[in-house]
Amino acid sequence: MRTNNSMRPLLRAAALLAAIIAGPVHAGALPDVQNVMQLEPEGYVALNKITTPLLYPVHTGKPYNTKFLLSVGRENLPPDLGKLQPDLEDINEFRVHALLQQFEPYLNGRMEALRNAKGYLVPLQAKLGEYDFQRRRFPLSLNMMVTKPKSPDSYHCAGAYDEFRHTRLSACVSATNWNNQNKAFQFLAIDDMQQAEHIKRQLLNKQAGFYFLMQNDGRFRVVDNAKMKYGGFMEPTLASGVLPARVIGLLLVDHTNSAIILAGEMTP
Amino acid sequence: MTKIDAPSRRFALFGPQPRAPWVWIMALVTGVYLLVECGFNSRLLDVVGGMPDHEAVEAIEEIGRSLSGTALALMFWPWVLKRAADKRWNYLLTALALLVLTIVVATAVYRGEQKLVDRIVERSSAEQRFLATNLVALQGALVSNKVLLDELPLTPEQLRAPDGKSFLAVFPLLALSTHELDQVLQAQKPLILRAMADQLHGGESASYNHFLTSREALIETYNDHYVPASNAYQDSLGGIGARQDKAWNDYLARLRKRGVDPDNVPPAYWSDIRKDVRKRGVNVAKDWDPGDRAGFERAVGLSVRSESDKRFREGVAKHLDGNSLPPGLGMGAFFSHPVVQAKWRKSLHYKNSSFTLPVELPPQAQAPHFFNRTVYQRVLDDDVRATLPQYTAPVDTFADGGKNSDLGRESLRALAVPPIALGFSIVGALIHLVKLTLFVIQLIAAWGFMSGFVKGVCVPALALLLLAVFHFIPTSEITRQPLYDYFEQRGAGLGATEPNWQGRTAMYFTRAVIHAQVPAYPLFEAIRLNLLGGYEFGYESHQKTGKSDANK
Repeated sequence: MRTNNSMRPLLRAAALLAAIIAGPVHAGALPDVQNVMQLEPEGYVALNKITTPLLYPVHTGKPYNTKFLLSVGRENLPPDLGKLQPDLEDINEFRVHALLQQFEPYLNGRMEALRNAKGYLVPLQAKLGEYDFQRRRFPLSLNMMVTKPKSPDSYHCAGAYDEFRHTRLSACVSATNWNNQNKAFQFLAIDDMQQAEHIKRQLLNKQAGFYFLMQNDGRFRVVDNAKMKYGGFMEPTLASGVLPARVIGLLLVDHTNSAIILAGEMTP
Repeated sequence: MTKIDAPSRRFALFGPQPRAPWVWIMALVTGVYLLVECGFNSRLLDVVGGMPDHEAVEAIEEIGRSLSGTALALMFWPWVLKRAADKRWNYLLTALALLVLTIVVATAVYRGEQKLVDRIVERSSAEQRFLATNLVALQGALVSNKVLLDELPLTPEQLRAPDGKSFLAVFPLLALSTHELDQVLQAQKPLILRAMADQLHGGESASYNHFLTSREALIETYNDHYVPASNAYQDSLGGIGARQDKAWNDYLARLRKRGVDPDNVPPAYWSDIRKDVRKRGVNVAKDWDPGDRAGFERAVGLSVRSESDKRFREGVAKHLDGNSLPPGLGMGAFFSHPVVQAKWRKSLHYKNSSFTLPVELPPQAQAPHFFNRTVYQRVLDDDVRATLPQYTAPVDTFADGGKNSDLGRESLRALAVPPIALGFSIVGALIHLVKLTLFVIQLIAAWGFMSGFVKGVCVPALALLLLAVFHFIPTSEITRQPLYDYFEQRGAGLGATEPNWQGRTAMYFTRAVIHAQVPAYPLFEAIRLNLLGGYEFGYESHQKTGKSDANK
């Protein structure tokens, strides 16, 4: 994967770190794109509060609650549809029904994309430590959205496709070749201090974020033998299924223009 | 009462004896015993003169041993009763003493007789066992009247007569001493074994009747049990669709009552739902999805099919010795099914045959001939084919540890038991006949033996004397035949070339027994039938006739 010329040294540094923590899983090659918007044509769907819960109906053929999905995932709707979403709370059920028809093409498109996806762009929670001026790098701590208690494993879970007895129902993605004890991506090496400072500021201001690029690594598994709960008291959620996927790379994405600032490949 | 002076009383065998109450008791008990012994003797003659099977011999032998034990115990009863009178025992003590005495003596005699036969069998040589095996077969062939002895031809009427039965009972014992018996029998063995098999099956006519009876029983099984069970099974399968719909609707109703739709149940609750569904008899797969109607219906279908299968199998198995058949068989397929054929052959005791028995028979006039040609002769062929190798096996295979050792022992037992049982029975009957006579004399004339010891010696002696007298009363044609004389001469040596006193005695009393049975049997049989209510003494008539048990 290549970025623009100014980002090339950073990419090399991150790739080097990834190589150091070589794991047993064979990573796929990163697609040759410069912007995350270019990932979907390559078969990688961005997982958010709309697409993540839709993994369950896509892989099981089960129905989902459109109104509830849109309500929980409104922040990830395209701007034009996002404006319509509050009207779904209207008490006139005919109007709501008519409105829902307008969401249908978008949702069908998302489901179709998920059905054909070979991988996913998965947002991460990241903590950047203090810059090491001697080694010219940041210590980096990554986690997926939902951490498993007393375990280094974490899952990407978001949104809800339905509600059952005041509990949200959703789906998750698990990494088959990574957890937070894995030595991959523990440092972010940036030689240029100005650039390092700029990136840190972007991250603190939520103008940039880390993402895993993952590929399918097995069949969607329905969680029917245990209750996989998360979300605490405020947003209790049950995971109805987990899709296994393996990490093929780490991306730092500029949220303002969706450009890929740097990318590191997960090497075997 | 006549007075006798002391010196002459000291040497007298007979003298005045009181008409004591115990004499009345003994006369009564002896009389009752005698009736039972006579009835048993007649039944025993039927058994031993009729080619009995091993179980029949065992059964009647056990009763014979018990009766012999009781007979000996009764001989000691006067001694106990006299002491009871002298010591003024009460009734309970007297009864207890008699009971203990009877149990001890009867058990000892029972075991003693058993040991006697066991010893004869155990000490027998391989050659004796081999000859016994062939003689038992020859005995069966004689009983069936399909084989005749040169110089001693016996008609079926003669074989059914008391002397004929007695002769058959002792025949193997007589013939055992014949020189080179095996060479004499060698060429005739297939014929002898065929005749023995014929006798064991009860003959052609009886076998045909048994075949018809068993066939009817199986047709009844088919019509009354198999067909209804099969129809019920088919009906049950035909109703699977309705059962599936009902079960699914019930399931939906239960879920909806809890505000749940099968497609919307979160997977976290699927396990609970599966448990609930299984509890209600629908054994869904472990990964069943609560919204999967096809999987649910498949489980209902399997459950109904399994229930129906079980009900059908159990219903049919009850009538087919625990075996099952597939449902929906037509009559032809039912009767030709290996399970039905096996049961049918078993019920007819066709243990050596494996061919298919026909259920379709020609018109009544040709049916017996058809049965004889297509079934009975084949059964006899199979029996001969299966048994001939044993009867022609080398003599040493009958030695201890040899492969025919058990057959030889069993044959020798079958050969030894009838004459021994018959001998004990006759001697017992005669002894108690003498005793009863003495008790009656004592009750009428107040006379009897002065000494118990003398009485104990004289009574058996008188009984043997009575039997010995019959040696000279030629009541039977059989003992006048030249071959019988030959057997008697050979038997006088008990296997040795020269006669000896034991052999002579045995042959003397053998002839006496044959003669004695001619007048005794009709009387004894009349007692059995009229006074003992036709009691069988453990030998059921179907054992002799091989009656079919296909309907059991």
